[in-house]
Amino acid sequence: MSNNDWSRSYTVSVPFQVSYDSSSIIIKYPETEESVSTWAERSTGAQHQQVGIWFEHPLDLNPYEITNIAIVNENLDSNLSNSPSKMFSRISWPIDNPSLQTLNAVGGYITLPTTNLQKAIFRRVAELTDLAIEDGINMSPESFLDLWSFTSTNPEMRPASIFALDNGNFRAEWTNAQGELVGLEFCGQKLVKFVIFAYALALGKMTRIAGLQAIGQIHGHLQAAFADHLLTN
Amino acid sequence: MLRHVKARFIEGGRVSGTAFRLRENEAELSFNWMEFDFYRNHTAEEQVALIAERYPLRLSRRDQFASLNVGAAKRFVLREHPAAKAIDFIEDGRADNPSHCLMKVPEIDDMVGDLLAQCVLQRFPAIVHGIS
Repeated sequence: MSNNDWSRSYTVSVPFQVSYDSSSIIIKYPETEESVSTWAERSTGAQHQQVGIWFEHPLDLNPYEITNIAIVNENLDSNLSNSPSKMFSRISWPIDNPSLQTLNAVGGYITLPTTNLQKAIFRRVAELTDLAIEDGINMSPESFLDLWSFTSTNPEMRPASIFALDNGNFRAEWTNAQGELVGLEFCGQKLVKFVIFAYALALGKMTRIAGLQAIGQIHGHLQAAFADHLLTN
Repeated sequence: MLRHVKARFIEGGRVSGTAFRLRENEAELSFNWMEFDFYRNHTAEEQVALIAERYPLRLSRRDQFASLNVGAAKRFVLREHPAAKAIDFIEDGRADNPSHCLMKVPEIDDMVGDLLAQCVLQRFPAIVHGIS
């Protein structure tokens, strides 16, 4: 596969055929000859190099669970996919040169233990992706990666409810019994559509705002709206 | 009113506001009227079964129907949406889907969906066995 391609594959160690159409990658497994529609491929136009993110599954071959995450410079032969006893899901992610230099400085390969939050998110995303496939929807890898990076920045984050939209995006929602809500739809290209319901003590009423924001600005936005408490324990 | 909710829009017993976004080929939100015609003489579960029986879209095992009270939903969206959106439900029954209704709204947005989700009263399995 070229550097601009990516796939979600349950048994990478088994050779598979890849064919392309305008919007998605189709993987055919030799054993079954069944087509599996994956998350949609979208070209970002980025000139960055790609790194592979490998989600290692437990030895009982349960694709909904992950044990480790490996970030690998795809230009290096990691031999991960040749491991007969392990199973991986893999996606590619553009990375800027300074980050790649850092990665290469440690050998081009980093393995990270997964947090309970990451395990829960991966399990839910895998479940949603299967449901989306039943509905003929290809989920967006960019949306997944933005969701993943957002929720991985704070290990103390409360688990969100995650949903798979018809447009291929993932949406995370945090709510409480008071009717407060933070809903973040990860649109790819580092953009997030948000809906915030937050009770304003000073006003004595619920404030409700919605809009589009860069993912890097969302935390500040939530703080300004007094809604950041919904995301933490 | 009942709204068909795909399993992708439900987690932990809660319906997401994304269930109240326009589907592909949907110009207005579709609902079904639980108390349509003779349906009103049945229990809620039987009403759902009657609607599911003639529902034109594919229902999956984990899908659900979410019920809302029309008056409460209209008042809630009007009062709580910053743009004071006035929604209404219009009968749009057809031979193949006699209890079909449409929700009219000046311009639907994500917040309308999230407000409607907070109006959900009950959820019912979309596929029910044993009720005729």
